[in-house]
Amino acid sequence: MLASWLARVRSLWRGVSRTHGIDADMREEFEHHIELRAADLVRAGVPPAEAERRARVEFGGAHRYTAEGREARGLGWFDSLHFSWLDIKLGARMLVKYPLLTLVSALAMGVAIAIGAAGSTVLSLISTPSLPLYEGDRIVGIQLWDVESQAHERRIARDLASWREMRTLEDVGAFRPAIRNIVTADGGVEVGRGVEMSAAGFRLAHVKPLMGRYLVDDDERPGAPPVVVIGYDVWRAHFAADSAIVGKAALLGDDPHTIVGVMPEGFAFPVHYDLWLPLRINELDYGWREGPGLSSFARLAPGATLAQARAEIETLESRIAHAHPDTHATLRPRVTPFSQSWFRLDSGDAIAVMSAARLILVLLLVVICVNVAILVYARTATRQSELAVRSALGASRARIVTQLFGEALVLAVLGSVVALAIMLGIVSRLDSMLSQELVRWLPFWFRFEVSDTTLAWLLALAVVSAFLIGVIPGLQLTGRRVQLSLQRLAGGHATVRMGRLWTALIVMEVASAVALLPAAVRYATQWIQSTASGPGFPAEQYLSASLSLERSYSTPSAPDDLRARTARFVHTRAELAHRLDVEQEVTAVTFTSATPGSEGGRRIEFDSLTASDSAKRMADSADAVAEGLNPYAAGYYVAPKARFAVVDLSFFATFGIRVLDGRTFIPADSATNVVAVNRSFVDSLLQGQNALGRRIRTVRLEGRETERDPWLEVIGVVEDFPAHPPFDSPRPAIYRIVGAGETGPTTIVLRTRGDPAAFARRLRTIALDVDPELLVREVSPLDAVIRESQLPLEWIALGLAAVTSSVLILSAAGIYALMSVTVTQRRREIGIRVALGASRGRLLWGIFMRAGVQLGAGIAVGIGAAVMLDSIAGGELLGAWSVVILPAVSLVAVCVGIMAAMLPAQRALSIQPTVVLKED
Amino acid sequence: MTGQVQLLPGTLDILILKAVSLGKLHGYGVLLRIEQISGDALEIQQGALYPALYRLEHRGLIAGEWGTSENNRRARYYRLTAAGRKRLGEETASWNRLVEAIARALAATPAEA
Repeated sequence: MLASWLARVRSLWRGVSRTHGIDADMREEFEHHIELRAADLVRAGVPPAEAERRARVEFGGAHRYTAEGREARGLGWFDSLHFSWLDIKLGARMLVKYPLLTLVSALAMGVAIAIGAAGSTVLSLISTPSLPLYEGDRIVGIQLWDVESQAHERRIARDLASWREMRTLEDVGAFRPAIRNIVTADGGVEVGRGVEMSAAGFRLAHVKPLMGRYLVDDDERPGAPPVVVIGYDVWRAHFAADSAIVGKAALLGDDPHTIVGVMPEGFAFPVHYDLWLPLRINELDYGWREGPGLSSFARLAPGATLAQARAEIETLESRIAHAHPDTHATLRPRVTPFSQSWFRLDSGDAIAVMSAARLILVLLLVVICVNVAILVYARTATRQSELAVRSALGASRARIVTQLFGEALVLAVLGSVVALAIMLGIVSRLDSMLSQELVRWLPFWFRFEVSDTTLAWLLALAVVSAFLIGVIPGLQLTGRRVQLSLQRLAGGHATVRMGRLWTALIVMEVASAVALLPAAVRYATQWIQSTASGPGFPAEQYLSASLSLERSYSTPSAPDDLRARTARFVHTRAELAHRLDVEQEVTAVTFTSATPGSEGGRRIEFDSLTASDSAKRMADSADAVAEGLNPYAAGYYVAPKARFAVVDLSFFATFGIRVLDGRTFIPADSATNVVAVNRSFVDSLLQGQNALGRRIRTVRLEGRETERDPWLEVIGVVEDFPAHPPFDSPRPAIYRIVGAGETGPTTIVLRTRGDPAAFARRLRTIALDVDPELLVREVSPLDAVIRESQLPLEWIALGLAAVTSSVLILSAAGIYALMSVTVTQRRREIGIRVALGASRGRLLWGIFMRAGVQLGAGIAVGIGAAVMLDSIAGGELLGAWSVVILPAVSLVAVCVGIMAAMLPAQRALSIQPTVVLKED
Repeated sequence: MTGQVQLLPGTLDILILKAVSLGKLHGYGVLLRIEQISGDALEIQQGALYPALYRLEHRGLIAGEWGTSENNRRARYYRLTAAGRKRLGEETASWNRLVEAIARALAATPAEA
């Protein structure tokens, strides 16, 4: 696809750069054709003159085919613009003549276009209606939406049987995740991203296996031999790319399966899978809305449209609802492009969010381009005489504006080149910027590359930018002003006015920079501090992994038993801990509900509330919810937040966390409701008062109801863990001991003697031995996990820094341009005033007063905006340092303004009265 | 000519790709090759061949280069690119499926309806 795009660009470039040569080439080809045809006719006995005449008649109108040929080469639009190569040359000359403007504009536009193109590409990936498979736009997902519970109904086994009878759909199938342990060729254990899928999925995808075969309908038969199809990466990584793998046995857990096929590289249908097992369910064994949870796919039948499929399924489901109102009365069928169904993009909320995101990206570009447009306007304004004379000599307004558009396009293309460089830089670093686990689980149609879509967005945004910075100022300059310019040319009077629009723009730019700077500084500081200071403990000595059990899908007569699975998991976890305790390499083992530093937050309530307070708060919350408000944000329910983790007995000892007050957990605590809290909890939520013996509980708002968990008693205070950087907000945390028989912590952390990464394989082997269905995933040294958890912060910090820098630079450029134009326009006045003895100070103040007022207004508005943003963010942006950050940011803005005004100030002071007066 | 049928819209491109896949050709050669492989059954407007050639070249499915023809004249020769070969395969498969489906439909008897 990229090759096709490049071919088009090359062809377009040839057409634009050799527009007359192209026509000559085409005429030469046509003449050659006619000659050869005439020669054939002569050989057939036709007289030469008659042969040539006949050949020309058979060929048809050469002029018409020349025009069609230009159209076929994509030059139709170019021809209609009366675009000239000279416009591009002039544009390139302008870039060289105004290097500072070029640099500022290209950088600012590059950042804006890169953000716009990258954001739009990601949004396109999410909302794409087509998969990168054969006729991918005809692959759909089928879902049942329950209007009462506002959730998807996944127990669709019985409905599937009906859907297979539809005329507008074919290859109807279903799938469910089946994450399995794979025993590799060298005896290790890896977790395979497995799926149980209908064989129809392979037919639908139209992808031939690399070796062997894919699943067929017969594999789904109960009692059929256990088979598996593996993916390319699994084949290479875990089976040493064995060319004779087909027919060999593979152990999934402790179940042997025969490998019947290997899929080619990149195949991961339906989402992100690399192991395919047959989906063995007999749909008719289930009643309506019974059975396992499934997801469904299908392909539109030849000739059928999405609208027709939707109509047919609605008719079908309404018949089912009529016959079975107790199960289907509240269900509504949905047929959507498969990729959109995966991201649940069929809801109004999702569409609104996507549209808002696109709007924000476009607005960012528009804001930046308007800023650049004003700078270009100031530059173009110095060419008023040239434009006025050209107009007087007969150049049409369209021709002049096309020329200005051409110049702007060169600048916009330069901005796009900068944007492309930024994006290529990001893509090349993407592996290190994204969590590896995240990359593995992304849908297969998510390809982070500079794709056709991205290049198309870059080109589109460049054209839009060129329009904003070239056409709009051009229209303004070539309107009534042209006549005014002609009249004023003789008088040597200034024709450019930097009025209210200019003032508003400078104020807006400075205000934006001042408003964004605190957030940019804060995130950058946080990122730098957390990177430099580290987690505060030797995380590189620890190995962490996530534990879970494979889902076992048995027959309908023995449904999944949650209680039995929980008991099995608890037993397996204990057994695993016992086995690891005796390993020489392992010095400590613990379990926790989340890796340190990434615990989720919960709202909490203290036991100090009286009954009436509690009731009033509950009533207020319900009222807020009824009005559609978020009660927490609206301040009705002032419930503080704290990080919450469920841990085992050895958690504090494993990490060497000091106890500051009270005690840590003992075995008897697992039967009681006790917790430990950290120092930040005591300092920020209890104002340093004694925490021991206090009772707290976690609360949740579920619709209009407030769910409250049982009271928990604080029995100990520990130091903050992980240590948070200085100047950062305190992070209160609560630790609860896991109860007996509770699933609770599913993350295992080991401290090892040597390199923890080297123990990963042994960990998986032991886990497999303890329970073949125990999945050990996300195995990684803890320092790598913590680094990956900071990636979002890095992204935010870099993004904010880029945007804030652009706005700051544009502010400086705007002030510089205003001052330059002012000095140019008032040269004569300045010269006369100097001649009359005006002091330098008063002179400068008189000239720059306006810029000073604009700077001051911008800073004031910016500070107001920063305070507002901070309150929206719950005080996270400024924190306790607002008294320092706000004046510092204002000072930065003033310094930038002064620096931008220095050069024009110097020019003003160097004006010689005698020179200026002679210019009369 | 008698017995010739008009091309369906959109089919000239696939015929050009097929003709060029059999060897490098100039425009007139493409015309002759199409007539030859179709058994002279298709009616093609000669001049209309060139916009189609330029369109395919613009999309990167064929590549053109100047050479010298059999009558010692400067001529532009076209060859199939890798992308063109892939597109030819896809279009051929799609066409064959369509033809098979239509033939099946047209061969249906009242008993099958």
